Amino acid sequence: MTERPFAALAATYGVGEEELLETLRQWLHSGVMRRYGALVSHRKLGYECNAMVVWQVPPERIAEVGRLFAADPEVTHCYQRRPAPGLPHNLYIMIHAHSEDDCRRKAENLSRVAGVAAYELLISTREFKKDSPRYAAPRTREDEQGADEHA
Amino acid sequence: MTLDFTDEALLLRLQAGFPLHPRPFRMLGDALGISEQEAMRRVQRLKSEGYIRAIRASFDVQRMGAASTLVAACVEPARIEAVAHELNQHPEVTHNYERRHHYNLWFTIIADSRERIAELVEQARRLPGVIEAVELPVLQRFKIAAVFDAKR
Repeated sequence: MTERPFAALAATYGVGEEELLETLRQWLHSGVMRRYGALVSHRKLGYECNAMVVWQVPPERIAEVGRLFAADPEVTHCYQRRPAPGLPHNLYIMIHAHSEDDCRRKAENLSRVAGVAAYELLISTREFKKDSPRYAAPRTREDEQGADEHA
Repeated sequence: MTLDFTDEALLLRLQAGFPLHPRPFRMLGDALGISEQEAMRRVQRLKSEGYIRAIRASFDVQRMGAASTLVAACVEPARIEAVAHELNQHPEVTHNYERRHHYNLWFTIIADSRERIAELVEQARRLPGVIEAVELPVLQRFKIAAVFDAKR
């Protein structure tokens, strides 16, 4: 680790430090890059349980309920998804909590708050893969892996 | 290792954003009332202890021109590890979890195109032990963010 991690990173690409930083700032500003920051181990931080909670929301309420769930700090992801055979649910959220009981309680609370009774908790029992996606950038050769790492 | 208040504040700040500045650790140190050297030491320790998995860019899948989806598969329990292993060979499969449900294997795909996603889903359906697999594409995003504070 160095005081000037971006200088070190820039050197590996043969560009200047300020050029690299300016590119990253532009990406952040334009929204192509959502964030430049730390990915943490939620298990290490005590969030032992990760539950996907799937909801059957009346279609006319999807935007309202989606925004409501999204506003909750314990909800980390909130997406409307296309229903499928055997999965009639249309709103998917992720909850990270300290235990399965906490996840269940959280889901019950959300159900009451939103007035949506039809939901299911899908508790993860094993993690087979958790990776960072890699993209080929549209204009430069720098990919996500490239923009990585300070140590 | 136990985390003190400064570690916890550092973890939150680092998740919100690593300073895009020539001396990022000095910026972090200034914000937390510690020296640049101490900020570096703490970040290094949080990494080596496994609290921080990486410090890096997260891109907007859509804006990158990529396609993504979630797939729910129903797999014979005895085959689930083998199937997960097969799927994980593809770099496009980014997350893969076993979950307690009729659909017991859930994985996400990020690929160059919809066509490639369809191809991967079709391949998954043909793996021995896979009874069925359904695609659950996103129609609307309300939130994609995960900032965790340290809880004990």
